[in-house]
Amino acid sequence: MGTIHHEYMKSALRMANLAFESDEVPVGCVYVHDGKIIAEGMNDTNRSLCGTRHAEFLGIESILQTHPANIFEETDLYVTVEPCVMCASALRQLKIRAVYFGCANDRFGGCGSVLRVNSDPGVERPFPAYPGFYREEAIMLLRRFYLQENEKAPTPKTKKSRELKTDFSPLDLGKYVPRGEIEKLYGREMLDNLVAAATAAAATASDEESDPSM
Amino acid sequence: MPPSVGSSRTTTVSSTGTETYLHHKAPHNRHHRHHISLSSSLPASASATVARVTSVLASSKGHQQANSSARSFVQVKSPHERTELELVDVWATTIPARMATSVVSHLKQELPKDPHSLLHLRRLVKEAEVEQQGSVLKASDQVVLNLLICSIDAVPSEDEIKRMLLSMTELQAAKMNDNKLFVPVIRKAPKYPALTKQQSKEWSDGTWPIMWRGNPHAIISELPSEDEDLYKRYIEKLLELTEKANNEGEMPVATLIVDPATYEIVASAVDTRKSSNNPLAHSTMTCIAKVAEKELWRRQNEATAMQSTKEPPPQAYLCHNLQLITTHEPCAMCSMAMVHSRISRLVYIKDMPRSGGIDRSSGPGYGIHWNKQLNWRFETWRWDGQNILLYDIDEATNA
Repeated sequence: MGTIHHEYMKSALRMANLAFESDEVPVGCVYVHDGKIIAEGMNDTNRSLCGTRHAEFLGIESILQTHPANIFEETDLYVTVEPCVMCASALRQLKIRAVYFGCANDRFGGCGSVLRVNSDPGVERPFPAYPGFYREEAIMLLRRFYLQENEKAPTPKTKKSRELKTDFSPLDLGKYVPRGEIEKLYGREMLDNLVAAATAAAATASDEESDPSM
Repeated sequence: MPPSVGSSRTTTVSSTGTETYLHHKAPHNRHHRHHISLSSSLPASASATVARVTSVLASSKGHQQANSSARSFVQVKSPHERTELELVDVWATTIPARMATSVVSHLKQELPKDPHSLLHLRRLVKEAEVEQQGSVLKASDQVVLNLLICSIDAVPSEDEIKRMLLSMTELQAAKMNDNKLFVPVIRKAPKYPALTKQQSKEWSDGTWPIMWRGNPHAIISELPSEDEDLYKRYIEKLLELTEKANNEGEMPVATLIVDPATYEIVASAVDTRKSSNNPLAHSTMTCIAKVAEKELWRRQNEATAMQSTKEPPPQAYLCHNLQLITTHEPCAMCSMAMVHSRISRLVYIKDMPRSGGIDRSSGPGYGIHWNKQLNWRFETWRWDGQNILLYDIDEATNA
């Protein structure tokens, strides 16, 4: 561990923490251009009462206040959770250069989990989306958030659902990234992990990743 | 018109537009309870708007006068209709047609509650209609019907089924005459109601036949004409908005969010990607944001007025039960924004085959309005009536 991507993802995680402390679904992101973070974003749906105020959009709007839209062609996004279908389409329309994310979004993911908006044939050029950067940290933030939500509920759910799970199902990297790119991007270690994970995944049929309702 | 509007071009407009408009407009308003109040005075350069509005009204008028069954909207096909056929095992038997009523009422008393709802299946079926399933016991000289008894899960034991049948003395006598009657057999039947008439036909082929009575819960194949008329009024409003947008150099795409309970236009928006330097400032996104802003503002005012220290109400999905009417098929971003906002129905005028996120033949065929993996679905209707003169926008545009 410890690539430059992990460094940027740490900043995105900081934003996700900020969202957590603001009672928002903890998702955070940063946009990086020329090695510099040019914008940050965190989920804002609860405060704004608007289901489309995802972290990605807050960052995009902040960038567009001071930059022309074509800056995205040379900008990368680091976001703690896989962009949803809406955000993936938005990022593609902006011609984002690449997206790095933490954990997959099994409910709404637009970069391989539910739809492949980033790479399907389309009007704008596709963009690559790489998962797995501080994935476990991203998942734990979401779990802590939903646990707290459960406890706040008027009729708390069963005790079992109030326990913080700390185990992780393996990430099927091959579902998101072409095999040829994995070693270059993540290093030899990740490739070995992937092979191990694929074996484990074959053993356990159901694979629960994350549950972000955003 | 400003030449800056991409490849769009305006439509030639007849100078008699105003006259036609006024002619159609006056009677139209009187006949409709729910009309959108259009601006009371026509703008000076309104001839283009007028001509377009007229075209909608004319088709609406034609629809009323000429053919009351002609519809102006079609439901946009979705992956929903690709639901696979699932089967359930059922008990069936043959009975003499003359005994049908008494046997059915006898069994009603005997049978336990069925774990499967079989209400979508036909109860009594003529011999010819199930023959293709083979192994039908052909009865002799009387008119014989196939009777659906219950699911195997309701009564697993064949002996128990036999006992129920023969506990009716009338049946015992009939069986003496024809031993092939009342033999329980296992049949395959569609487990769930079909969603469309077509599907009902396909599913009934080779299985126990479905009774097609429409499916009020899942799908309606036609909009009620009241709704059609209402949407035509909203379309007039959209055309006004696109006219204005086009004059101002914006992309001529517009959206309304309406409350079907009150007919109120909750929010309206035009595309502002050009003036705002934001390629994502689509009219649908803006319209959804406006609904939220309005509610936020309302809650803040309410809290101030009541001097209340109470917690604000828990977050509601604010477009729940609201409908979205727009000029062009929304892109994947906007379609998913509708899922996130819990929009209940989408109505649009024109397909966007390259960039749309709804129609299964648009783009990669996402059908986002009815994707089983997503957690919200909304039905969608597309204009299918006479030409509405929309401004052309580049087919590669994400609307």
